[in-house]
Order: sequence, then structure tokens, then C-alpha cells
Amino acid sequence: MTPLEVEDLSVRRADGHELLRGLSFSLGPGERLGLVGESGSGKSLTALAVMGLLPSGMAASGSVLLGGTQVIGAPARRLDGVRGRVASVVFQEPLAALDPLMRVGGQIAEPIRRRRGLRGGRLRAAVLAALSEVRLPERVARAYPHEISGGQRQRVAIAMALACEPGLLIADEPTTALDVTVQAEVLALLDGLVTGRGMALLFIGHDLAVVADVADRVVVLKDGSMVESGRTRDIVREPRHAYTRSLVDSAWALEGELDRLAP
Amino acid sequence: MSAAVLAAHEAGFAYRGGPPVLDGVSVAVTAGRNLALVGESGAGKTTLLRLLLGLARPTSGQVLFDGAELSPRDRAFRSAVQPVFQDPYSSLDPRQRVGRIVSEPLRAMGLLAPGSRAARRREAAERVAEALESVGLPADAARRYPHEFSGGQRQRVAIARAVVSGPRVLLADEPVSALDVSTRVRVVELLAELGESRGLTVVVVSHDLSVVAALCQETAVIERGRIVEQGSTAKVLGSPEHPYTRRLIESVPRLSRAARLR
Repeated sequence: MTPLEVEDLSVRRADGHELLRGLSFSLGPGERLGLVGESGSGKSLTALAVMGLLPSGMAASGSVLLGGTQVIGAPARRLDGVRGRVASVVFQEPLAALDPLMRVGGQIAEPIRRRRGLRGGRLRAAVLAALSEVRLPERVARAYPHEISGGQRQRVAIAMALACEPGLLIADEPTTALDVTVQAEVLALLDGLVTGRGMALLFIGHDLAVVADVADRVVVLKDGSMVESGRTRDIVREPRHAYTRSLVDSAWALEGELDRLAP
Repeated sequence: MSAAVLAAHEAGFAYRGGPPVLDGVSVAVTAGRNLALVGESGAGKTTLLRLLLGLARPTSGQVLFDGAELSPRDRAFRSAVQPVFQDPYSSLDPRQRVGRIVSEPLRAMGLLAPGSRAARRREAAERVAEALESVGLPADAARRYPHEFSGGQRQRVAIARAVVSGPRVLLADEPVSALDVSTRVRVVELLAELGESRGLTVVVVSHDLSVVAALCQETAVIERGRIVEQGSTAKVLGSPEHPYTRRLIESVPRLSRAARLR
């Protein structure tokens, strides 16, 4: 089953203003697609629309098939069966995704208990296994979110997203809030997990170098529309659209300064 | 080597009862040599910048301005050293017109020539227009409000406010990290250009090594409150000696790597 098929997806505000215009792309099993664009281009909105999480007052049209289930216009109950199992999301700011009043172990246990029905000792074992999968020590289970570092929090968010073994992971700027060395570690972790589980990955980012490092194909968004899509390598080397070219040139220009000193 | 405009000498800083945030830090800002302070969150970069700005006093060691101990109320210091902050959305008062925002340092520091109110107002308007022009904004920008500008333009407004008093040093805390990549390139170019045309030396706190390579001749790497490596940017980034510096450089995501691999 195809993890994600988006066909002519548009999102409108209540006043009729169009925020996303006719977006189409698909992701096969194990594929990795990057969504790149500058602020306000509609990247995060795409992730929300795909998961059926648009804020009230926004309406989506077109078709989003998530593991074969139509998301657009679906009742909340049907979406509950899809989220977490078929696809789950890791957002930019892990502190906002975690409950500040609940120990980390309890938060990871929640989706496992609800989706896999585990209790007691088996649930505890599953939580520890989930922690070790994201390379976190057992003691993190007893910590509150504010007691661990930003990189550790993002690992916890990843563990929660993977708890129900979804076929698709959506990562929305998962490393933007992290320091560059931590970013490298989290990206390597994501890469290993996605490969190991054969998951599909929709990776959203503003930093072309980060997205290009992770994704095989890239969709470039500007002002809510797709301006170009193709293999990462082709886009980075020979962008066709003028906007993509300016994006790629800017990225190369800055990187060139660093390459000059530290090749 | 010319004398340092601004320098920290064995400077340390700790909050009351807390562990040191900075420990025995020595850096010197020499005219014409832009300096980068590089490191991760919590390393103490911003605290060091606050010491150099006179917003905090070192709990040990000294901060020197033109060779003498820095006194934050000294007018010569205030007009010579100006800050640019990270987020142009929060550093500009939304209820003031750009002209008023940019002229604020002139009024606050009493830098306008004594004379009638009208004459002072005229002088302020001229200097604002000149500052706006130097950052590439149109003269009519003075009559508009911050919300009418994009993020990159707002950062230009913040830079205009910083240069209007004719400072010798700009202290910029992550000046481009809130901006999109194409805007980022242009603001970095602007900062480099202002350095040349106005004889400004820029001190930048940044986690982005590409920005550092593009803008700064000198680099100091800070890890957990200590400087682990400093020297010319070419040397620090080109042949890093400290393992932490090496790890920082290796962690930078590169298009060239992606283009090769995929």
C-alpha cells in the first residue's frame, strides 16, 4: 500500500484566501521525500493537512490518501485510527510536543498502551526498548521534559512517533531548534531508524543542505505552490526553475565561504 | 597590531550562587578585524557579548574599552559600541515609525547639535535618511511602521539604528539566524560592506560557520564558558586544533556532500 498520495491539495482560509494551491506528490514504501521552501511557503501547512490537523477555520480540498484512507473530509474517529499507526509526525519544537507535567517514560508509554494494548511489565519493557532505540539511557524515563536537553527531547518525540510502528514518518523541521552537532546526531539517528524499519519519510525543512542530506527526491514550495520537484541531486546541481535556482545559489554561496576555508 | 577597541581580559561571569557561565575569557576586538564568537547554546557566547556591551559586569577579570575599564554609562562608549539583536520581530517597537526607532540613539545619547527644536529635528531626519540609505532602504521607510517590512528589511532597520550614532563596533547576536537563506546572504553582504565603508568592526555571535567564514577575519570558539581555540578564521576553520572545533565543522550540513552522494 502506498503510504501517501496527495492529489491536487489546496488549503483555504475562512476568508477564501488560498494558502496551498494544487499540490500533488506521492511517497512509496521506504521512499524519502523532502519538502523545501522559505518561511510562509506552506511546508508545515502541508504536514498538518496531510495528518488532518488543520486549525479550525481552514478548509482543505483535493485528495490525501494516507495508507489508503482518505483524510480530506474524514470524521475524527477515522483519523484516530490512522494517526500514529499509518503515519506520525515529529515537530520542530519538542518542548511543545511534550507534556511538561508528565515524566518522559509515561509519555512514551501512552501511545504504546493505547495502540498495542500492553500493560504492566510488558509496557515498561516496551518503553525501555523505545528509549534504547533512540539511544537514550533508561534514567530518562523518570525525567521530566525540562530536565533533559533539547536533543534528548527531540529523541523522546521520535520515540513516541515510532511507538506504533507507522509506515510513514513526517518530520517537520525536526532539527531546526537544535545545535549543529546535535542536529548531526539526530539526523543520523533518524536516518538509521527509517532505513532499519523500511519506513517512508516526508522531511520538511528550510535548510536545503539538511533536506538534501536526508531526501532522495525534493519538492520545492513557494507561496503555497509547487515550483519544482525532482531528484535531490538534479535539483541541487541543476535547478530548472528560477526560484529554485536562487534558493540553491544562496545555499551554495554561503557554503562556498566555508568550503574555501574548510574543504 | 593596533590596540584593541574592546577587550575582555580573563573575564568571568557567574550568577549569584551559580557555577561560572564564563571562566577566564580573553578576547580582543581590533579595528578592522571582524570577530566571530562561535559555540553551542549555553556555551556563554551571549553572556560574553553582554559583558562587551556593558549590559552585565564581569564577576572576575576585566572588560576594557580603548584600554580603560569599561563604564557602561560613558557616552563615548555608548555611541562607539552598538548592538544588533537576533530577532527583528521583537527588537523593534511596533508602535513607533521607523524614523523614530532609528533616531532613538541620537536622542537618547544627546548626540544632536544644540539648537532649536526644529534644527535638531532636521539634523535627526538627515542622519536617519543617511543611515537608512547605508543599509539599502528607501528614504520613505522612515515614515512607515515595522510591520510593513519583511524580516530581512526589519533587520536592516535594526542595523540602521545601530549605525546611526557612527559607532566603531557593532555587536550582533545571531543577526541572520531568523532569516531565510537568500535574505541571509544579503544581510551578511551588507554587514561586510558597512565594515568597509564606515570603518566598523563587527563582532558576531553565530552558530552558522558559513556566516562566520563569510564575514569574520577572527574567530573564537567557546565551549562551556571557556575559549578553547581562537585565531584567524582561516586557521581556526581551515586547520582546527581543538576536537570540539573539529566536531563543529564536521557537523555542518553541506550541499556538496548531498550532491555527491545522491
